[in-house]
Amino acid sequence: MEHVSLTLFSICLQAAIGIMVFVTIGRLINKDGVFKNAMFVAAGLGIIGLFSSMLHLGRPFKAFYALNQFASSWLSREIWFSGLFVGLTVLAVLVLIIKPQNKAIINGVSLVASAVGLAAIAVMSSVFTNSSVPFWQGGATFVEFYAAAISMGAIIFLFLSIGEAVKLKKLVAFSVVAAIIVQVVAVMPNLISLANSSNEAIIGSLAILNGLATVGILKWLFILIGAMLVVWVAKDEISPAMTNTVMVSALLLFVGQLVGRYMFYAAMVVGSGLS
Amino acid sequence: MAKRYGFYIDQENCIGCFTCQIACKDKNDLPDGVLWRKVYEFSGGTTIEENGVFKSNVFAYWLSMACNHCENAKCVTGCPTGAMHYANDGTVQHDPDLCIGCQYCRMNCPYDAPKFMEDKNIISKCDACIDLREAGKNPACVDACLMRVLEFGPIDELRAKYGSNANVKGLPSSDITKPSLVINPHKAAIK
Repeated sequence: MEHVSLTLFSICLQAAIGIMVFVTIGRLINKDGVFKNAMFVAAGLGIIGLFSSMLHLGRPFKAFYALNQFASSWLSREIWFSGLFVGLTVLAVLVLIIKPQNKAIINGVSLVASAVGLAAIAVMSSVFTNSSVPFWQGGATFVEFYAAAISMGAIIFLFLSIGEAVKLKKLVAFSVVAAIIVQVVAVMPNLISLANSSNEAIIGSLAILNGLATVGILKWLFILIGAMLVVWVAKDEISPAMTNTVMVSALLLFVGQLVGRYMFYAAMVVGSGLS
Repeated sequence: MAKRYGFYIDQENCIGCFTCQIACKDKNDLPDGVLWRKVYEFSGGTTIEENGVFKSNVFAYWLSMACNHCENAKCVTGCPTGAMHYANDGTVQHDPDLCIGCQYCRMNCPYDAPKFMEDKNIISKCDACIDLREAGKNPACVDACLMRVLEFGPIDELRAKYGSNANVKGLPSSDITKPSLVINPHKAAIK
């Protein structure tokens, strides 16, 4: 349950952040675009993510204590940044509902939410790179988290705003493909180099991943097929078939990143491997 | 600053009787599966025949580990609520009222010291028997040790007496968290 709740938390929140980044860009490029569905889904995913984070706590009703140690704890900072991002996204949605004509405020709040969200991903990554789990330490964690946010956010945004986001189709495709290429280039060599490690904790983590090899293959299959479908979509005109393709691509990328994140948490082996 | 306290472990003379582990579990009434002090066993080596003579380098040694009350305790800096904190004697203590059971301390401690209590949904850990020490006694593990290979006291005094080694095979580098720990290593455990 612990891995499931952490997986849902980080994936939902990162997808929400990615969507808000593209909503912000979309509203700047397409002045008439509202991107209402995308904003609603971003807020919903953010709220689901925050609630999921509480499910792994032994005492969820005391979760607000986690705000106490901003000065020293990356986990405390993560809660602050995540909470702030979701709060700002919900605020943007509320303004959209109450005063949809006030574009400046909606654009401003969306921009700040996106910036806070992007910072939140760095903080979320730091929670793990600063832990005593050698498998999590290093730049690959940052790349995995940002790549997940950009790839999922871009394609879900396109699916939810297909009519308004025509001008953004190529940017979305480029963003997804670039994110996935960076993810592959950063993660694969890192895994290969870890295979030569004599650190017992890393050996333990790799043994866990080895046991989940089929799941790992599915992760990369889903992600790569999802990314290829986006390229195909980018060169076609809008049609019902294209909408279906975007939906399949979004599903594949979301599930692929979700499965990958579960593996990331499942591979936790602390320190020297004492247990 | 007040004296910082820690443990000395004479690993070379530990016989792996597990009495420290049991004394700790008994004194703190720990539930099934929870050990604040745990004895790890290491063994290896081979026996080979050379010109009709059998040569052996077989070894076995033990490592008794609990919270090392580190000077740079990652469980303390990582704790989002302040439940993990330093006491006046430099030992790392845990406030169960502040603990939310996030288990981030378990991801941060390279010595696997914080334990999750399934029945209470929070973390617990070695407090170096603070209650016994306030009564002028030693921690339970120290007094229970048959071989007198465990000591607890001001870490500066322990280091002056036994040296400052806290690195043996099976443990992470002491540079990471600066444990309040001195170990006289078994010859097969020397790093």
